Amino acid sequence: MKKIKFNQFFLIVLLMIFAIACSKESDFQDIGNNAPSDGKSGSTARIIVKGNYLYAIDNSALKVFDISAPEDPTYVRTVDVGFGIETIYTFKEYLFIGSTTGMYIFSLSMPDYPVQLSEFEHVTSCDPVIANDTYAFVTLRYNEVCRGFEDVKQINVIDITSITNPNLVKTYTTTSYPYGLDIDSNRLYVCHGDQGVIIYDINQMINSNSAVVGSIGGITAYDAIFYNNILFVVGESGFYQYDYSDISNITLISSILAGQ
Amino acid sequence: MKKSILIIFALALFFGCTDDNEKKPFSGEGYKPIYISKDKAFIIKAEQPTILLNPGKLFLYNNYIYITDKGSGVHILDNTNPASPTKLKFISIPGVKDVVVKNGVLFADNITDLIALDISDLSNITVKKRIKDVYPLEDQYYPDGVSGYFECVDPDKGYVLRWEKAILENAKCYK
Repeated sequence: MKKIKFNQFFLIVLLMIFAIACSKESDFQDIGNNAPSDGKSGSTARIIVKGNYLYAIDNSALKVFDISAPEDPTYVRTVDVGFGIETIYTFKEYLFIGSTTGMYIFSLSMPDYPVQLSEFEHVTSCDPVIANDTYAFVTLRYNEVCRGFEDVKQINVIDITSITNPNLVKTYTTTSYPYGLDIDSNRLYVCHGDQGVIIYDINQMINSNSAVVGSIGGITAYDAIFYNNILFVVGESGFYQYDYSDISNITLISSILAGQ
Repeated sequence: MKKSILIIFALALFFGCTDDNEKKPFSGEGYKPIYISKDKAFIIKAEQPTILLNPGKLFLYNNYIYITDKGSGVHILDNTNPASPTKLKFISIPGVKDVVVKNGVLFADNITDLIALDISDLSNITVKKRIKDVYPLEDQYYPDGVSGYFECVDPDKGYVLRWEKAILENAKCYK
């Protein structure tokens, strides 16, 4: 089925709909960026692996490589996306691409042929994306006033239950600039540069304007990743591993500071 | 229609702001490019473990940690004991921004190219494949993931390895 090349876009869309409809009953397991067997990248990644394919972004396009023979990767195709692409993330059979103007969602029903399903436009800013079954979370930051844009420190919560029609549920204003992030069941762990990592409760984020339930200070945090029950954080100040089993008492397991 | 407006908008943002006539030269905090000479830019070297200087991106795979050192290479660590991760190797990869690994093969960006390295034997790391010109050279001309003033890139000085915060004098480029 996947070998058939459909030229008509509507047929592809139809396939997507089938894929989406079936996905809930499939045994497809995913823990965030990449499948568990693929290892894990962070929300600020520019190269990711999913199954037999490698997806790389440049500033304006997505490039697909076949790595079924990893030592001999082959170029498959380039998909133009738009200017200012910064991050790529995968969840289930989708790619989420963060750009300075919006978030693009691509279907990987045909892994060698990503097809754009939708686009969510937001204010001009830098924006890593992560997602779960219901929502995509985009952190937005813009710290210069250029051509009339205001200072931006936000987390956008976007309902993606209708993947072809993402819908903004909440714009949550943060107190410092947000960068990379990861999700653990009902909590977001968001890096805030020199303000460390701030932990938000997702339900409170959607329903109120105060959702902070914990934090990690004293570090500069740029991206955070959950893997093997450890929270990994990286930033200008170094690399850190945390035990987060008790969010009121997150403990440092080890660190390698910049310069060590 | 909507798309064309968006493209013009993006163009204005990317290129318009660099126009000397629109922005006065700026002195203050911004970013400056760190260069590598063109003859050294595509040399990949496996080296002994070294200091983590400019932590970049992370890739996690089983008990291994791969950390990019912005623009200079990738640290490979054994994390079997998370209380004491051990540096195993450093691979010098000029310009590197990101890394992934699959079945003993490490993939990374190297200036304009995508490279595949066999790391299944850490004492004998080899470049298996280089796919040239995956990344447009123009991507080098802007710092990624940041906004603000920066020192304009001079291609005659080589390729850009990474961007550093710096006190700029009369910077003319802006993103």
